[in-house]
Amino acid sequence: MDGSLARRLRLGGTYPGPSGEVAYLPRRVPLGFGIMAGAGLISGLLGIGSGAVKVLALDQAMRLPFKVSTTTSNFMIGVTAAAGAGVYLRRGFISPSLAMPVMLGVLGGSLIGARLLIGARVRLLRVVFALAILALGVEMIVAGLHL
Amino acid sequence: MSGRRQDGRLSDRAIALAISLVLRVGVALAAALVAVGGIAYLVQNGRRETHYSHFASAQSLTTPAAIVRGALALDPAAIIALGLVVLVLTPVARVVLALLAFAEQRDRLYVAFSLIVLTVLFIGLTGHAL
Repeated sequence: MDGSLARRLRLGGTYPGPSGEVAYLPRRVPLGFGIMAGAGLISGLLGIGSGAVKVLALDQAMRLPFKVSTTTSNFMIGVTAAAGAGVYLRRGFISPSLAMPVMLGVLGGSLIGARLLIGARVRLLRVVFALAILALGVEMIVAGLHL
Repeated sequence: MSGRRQDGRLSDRAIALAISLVLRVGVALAAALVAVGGIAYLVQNGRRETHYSHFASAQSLTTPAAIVRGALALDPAAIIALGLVVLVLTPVARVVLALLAFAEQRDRLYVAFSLIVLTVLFIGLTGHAL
């Protein structure tokens, strides 16, 4: 019953592991869908990376392998961010001079990160992810309360 | 690897490689535009003090036509904005490519998903509710 929706939508796949291809099938697809809708809402409202929430949904709710969660989230972000970016651009909310260093910096970092990911140990990735999401949370609380 | 399945249709791997190419080219083009525009912007405005406590929005660069016109007139801010537009449109191009690929594979379910995603993107990017 649980995996049937994932199977009907053909969501299963394989990814290259240390010793050959590893098969996976996501679980709790409706729950994942719900969390994703919340992630989109939050990122549209607050401009925070919904990527963090996406990784949580893919990893914790849908129980995908961590590296599959990471790469899938990254792959989706362009599409979901584009939907919001159009709204901001039309209203003049994007300052080119501010966007320039942000875009080039993020791009450089993500190119390095994507190469590091392939060989990285999942345990280490989880620790880094936890620290990143903690920093994100603290930063948002500070910003939200005007501390 | 021929890139074709047993039934002669495109393989998933061939599609993934094509999408990968579109993403790489789009991001490289966007980065080049933003870098060139950014350098020109810094050369022009690098010595001016900016005050980010008052957000100066880019009111003149809110439509694709205005951005393209500005970029053709070599306005640095418009060149950066054009790079950002290319960056935003890259994933849209990728969804279009996926739609065509799923149609070629006769995969009705995923053609429907791609159309839903494209519709949402269209509404977001143009502000028109179809």
